[in-house]
Amino acid sequence: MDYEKTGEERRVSEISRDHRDTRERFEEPPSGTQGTPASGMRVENLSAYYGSFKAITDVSLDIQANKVTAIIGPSGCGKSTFIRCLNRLHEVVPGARAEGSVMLGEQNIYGKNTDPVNIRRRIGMVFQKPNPFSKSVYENVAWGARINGYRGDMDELVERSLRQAALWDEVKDRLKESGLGLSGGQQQRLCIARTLAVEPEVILMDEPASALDPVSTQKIEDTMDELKQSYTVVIVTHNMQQAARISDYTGFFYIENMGDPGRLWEFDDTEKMFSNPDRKETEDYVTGRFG
Amino acid sequence: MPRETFQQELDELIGEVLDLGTEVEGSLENTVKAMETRDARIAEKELGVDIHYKARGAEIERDCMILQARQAPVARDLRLLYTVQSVTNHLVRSGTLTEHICHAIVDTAGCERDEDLEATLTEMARTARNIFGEGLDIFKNRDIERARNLQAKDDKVDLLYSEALNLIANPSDGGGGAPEWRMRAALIVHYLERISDHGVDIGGSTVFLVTGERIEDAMQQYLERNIDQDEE
Amino acid sequence: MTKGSTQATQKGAQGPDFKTSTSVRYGLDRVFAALVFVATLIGLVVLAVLLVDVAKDGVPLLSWSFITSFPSSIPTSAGIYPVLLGSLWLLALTALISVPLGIGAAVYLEEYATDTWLNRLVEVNISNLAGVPSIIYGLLGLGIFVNLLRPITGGPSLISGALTLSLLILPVIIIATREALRAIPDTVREGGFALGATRWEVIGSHLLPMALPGALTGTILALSRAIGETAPLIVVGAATYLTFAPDGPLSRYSALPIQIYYWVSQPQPEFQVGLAAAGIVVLMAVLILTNSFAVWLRNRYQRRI
Repeated sequence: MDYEKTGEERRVSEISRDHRDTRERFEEPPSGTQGTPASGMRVENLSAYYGSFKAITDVSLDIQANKVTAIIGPSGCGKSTFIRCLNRLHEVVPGARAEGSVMLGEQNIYGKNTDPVNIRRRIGMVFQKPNPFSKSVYENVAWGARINGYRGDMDELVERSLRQAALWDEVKDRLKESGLGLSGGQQQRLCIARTLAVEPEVILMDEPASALDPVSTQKIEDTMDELKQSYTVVIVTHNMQQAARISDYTGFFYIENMGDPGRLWEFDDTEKMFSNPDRKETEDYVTGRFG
Repeated sequence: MPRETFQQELDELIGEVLDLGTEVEGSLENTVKAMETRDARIAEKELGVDIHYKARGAEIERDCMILQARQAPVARDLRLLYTVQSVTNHLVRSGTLTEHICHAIVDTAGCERDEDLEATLTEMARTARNIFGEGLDIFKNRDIERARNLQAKDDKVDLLYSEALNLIANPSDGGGGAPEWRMRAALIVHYLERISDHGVDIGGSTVFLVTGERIEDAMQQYLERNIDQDEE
Repeated sequence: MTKGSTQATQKGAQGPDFKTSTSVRYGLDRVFAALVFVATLIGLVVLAVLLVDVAKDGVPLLSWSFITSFPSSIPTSAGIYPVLLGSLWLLALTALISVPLGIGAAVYLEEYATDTWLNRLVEVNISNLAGVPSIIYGLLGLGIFVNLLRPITGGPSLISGALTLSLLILPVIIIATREALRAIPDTVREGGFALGATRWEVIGSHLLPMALPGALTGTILALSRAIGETAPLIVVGAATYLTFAPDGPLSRYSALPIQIYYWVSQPQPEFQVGLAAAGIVVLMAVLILTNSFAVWLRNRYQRRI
């Protein structure tokens, strides 16, 4: 931002600046985008259970590579359950299981011979409440890579990951300090950095900014625009404006009655979902008439 | 229901637009009456009314902007605000044009006139008033089926328009009335055609409000969608 | 355009529906504070009286010769050397056996076992076991370690005593460690799994270090109890009068509490009051040292986090 402009000029330039356009005019190439190329995902007839309770039923959708897909819907409609099925974190809860298939590229992550531990490296996840490990900033980022057998230069990997998460400048002098000593927004970006360090193909985000203040939220949203250059991103969010701002595609989950399983009600370009959705329940939800 | 206050504010906004529409309709009605009865005093009442309409229009526009800033509307709410601004613009322009017509009537009160041309003008005025009222009604009731028919009625105005221009260019034998009056008549013809276009556009805006698409693409798709829903 | 406005109630906190006087409430507050203070005071005063009494009688008798001498029927030359060694041996062996077993069992029960009726049964019974009188453990030890496993343990030896004490304190360690593991929020586990870690990697790298302070606290309490146990050791064959110092896990042995008990039951006041008190002081010193070490260990782990 050019602070030498007068007040009037600055307001006009801010209004006319399209958020996405500035993100695409990189002055320098994004730092460190090497790694496995991003894959899309295809979900087919996915249903998920907690014991005998069916949480989501018959969900099918395509997640485009190198795009941001947002998942929205009222509380209890199964959004979190759905996203946890995408990296097989759902089944860690005792008694939970999933049916159907989820393809990562050419591979079904629910296939008989698929290793869930390996899947979870390739499909990373950032959670609602920042949960850095009680270790140093450096260790937080390095640990995941180390246990997955990273053999390259760890210092370089840590720096690259922190840069991609837009956190390097703030922590480069504090790498040995505890990760828990950072602010909430910084902790969340640390969690993003450690996810990036294991070089995933897909990044899942379960309401990553809902526990953060507006400035931190904005920083994370800015990061997301850069992330999709190298990764596929799926984000669950309660914040309608956020979904509208950062996503390319949006899926709306809905349950008709209490106790019903959630289902995918509508899925389309974000532009359409927020200007003229097809289904009444979608429109009622995005206009805030329930939720 | 959540966002009750917002819904209330939206309803009030629509109410203001409809009020403005009723007022403009009233002006238009007076204009028709003035032409039918050849009584310039009725037209005189409408002089200076456009200032009032412009002020009301500006107020509505400002309310729209405030709602947009405070409530971050999307989907149908966003389309509603957009449509309100569009319709308000049509109403204010129509009001201004009506005032211009009344000016012309008053200024040429005593002039000699061409009977045929005058009849055509009066017919045009009546038709324009009807189309305008219909457009406003479509907006009020969100009845987009009638919007399609409105386009057809506009064709009638176009016919009258051509007829009037023809009569202006070729005055009938036995005197075509004072030149002053003929010149004003040409302007009135043009204004009336514009007013009826505004009425049609109000109907078209309503289609965008309801379906989210422009009337040219929308009507066909909407009719098809209705059929699908009936089959479900 | 009307903005939504509600008529805010103008009643203050002392509106007509609420009593204005809070002095009664403050009064009750003060009475309650005083009561709980007195309760604490009673506990502290009793403890202080006990300590002062013991110190008064015991400290004058403390000397290097007391610590390095063997028990004797002559009060002035009696010492606690063999029983002190015995207690220290017991402490070391019990810690070596019970801590890994206890923490390991807790990790399995908390992180690996599924929530079946069997697991729940085990959990309830572990709590019960923590409350079983220690003499029962003594009888159990007698039957298994001293008699059944005589070829391995050598009968009433240090190792039998240590095994018995381990059984005694195992439930406490398991419960404390389980509580410490339960206190760790699931978000830590999720964060680990989400990076493609196996269960053991998450436990070893994150959960155990985080649970260690809590587990150590439980271990301190448990070992402190073990040092002070008398009845079960007597049952499994600890000697009441020992003339030699234990020299290995298979050796006969005795322990400080047993010696103190023996002295207290002597008619002579030099034994009953003086030496017994001195023994108690030494026992408490050992306890304090052990606790301090464990607390230091816990603090070290907490600071590293």
